Amino acid sequence: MLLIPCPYCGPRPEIEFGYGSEAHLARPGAPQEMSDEDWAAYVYWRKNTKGVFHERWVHTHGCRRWFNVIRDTVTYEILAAYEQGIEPPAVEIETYV
Amino acid sequence: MAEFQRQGPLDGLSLEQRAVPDLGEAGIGIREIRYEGAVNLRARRADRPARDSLALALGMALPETTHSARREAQLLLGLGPDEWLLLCPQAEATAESLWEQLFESTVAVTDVSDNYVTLELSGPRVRDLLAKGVPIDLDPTVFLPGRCAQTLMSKAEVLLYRGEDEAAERFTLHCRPSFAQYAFAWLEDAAQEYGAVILSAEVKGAQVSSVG
Repeated sequence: MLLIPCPYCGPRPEIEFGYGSEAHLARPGAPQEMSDEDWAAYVYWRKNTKGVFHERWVHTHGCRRWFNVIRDTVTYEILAAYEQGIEPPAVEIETYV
Repeated sequence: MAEFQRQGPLDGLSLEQRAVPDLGEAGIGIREIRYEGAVNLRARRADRPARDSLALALGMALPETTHSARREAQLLLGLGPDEWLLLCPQAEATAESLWEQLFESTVAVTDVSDNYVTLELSGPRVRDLLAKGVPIDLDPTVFLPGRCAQTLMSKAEVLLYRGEDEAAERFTLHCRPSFAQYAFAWLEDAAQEYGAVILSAEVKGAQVSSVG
């Protein structure tokens, strides 16, 4: 089980959390002017990173807040957890492919 | 204005008839705390004036998440970066007074008294009991007196609070009324091996509530 460091509550077990996929996806400002392909890219296409990945988590059974986590999807090591809306802290980006 | 007698989800379990006067040799004592008021408070983190006026109206500094503050009979628990729970004997009057004082501020004041069933767990084995169902670190050097945590207890969402008295192992457990019978049954079963007794309920608020 992962021990996820909630920025508000501290380290908590994974069962208290929900997963929210890739982080730092900005909703396009004018969707009506976009092509279907670009819109599909925003809605569906994800990085599927093998390595260090920025992702969203929500502390469902704790403080109920969303936040971001930087996790290595191969080793499952959590490199950082930080609040929403701020720049991610710098970490060493390791990729395996 | 109608008046009604409050009833709790644990009323059908005849806890009063089973209650013993004190813990004695038992490892765990389970006591229901009845009719305690709870007021949920929200103020944005970026909104300094709102937070300052909330702290002023409460007469205590706003605690960080998982910390608590106390003023006389009122206990303030930090639930999140912008959310607190005020436990107090007179929720209706307290909420109304806060609401009047904070009318000009962007603070949300909500009386959520009936949203919780409160159990007080005490006794020398209470930590062993909780460790069976609560996944967080309950070590006395980590979960310090006066700290609180929203977590899970055997799949039921609970708000756990450790009493300020360092010597007495005392935890307060708040859970949703719909989970109360389950949580109580789980606690009673898990506590069996340590020797558990039911203690007489403590009344911390008004039994009669008015609806306008």
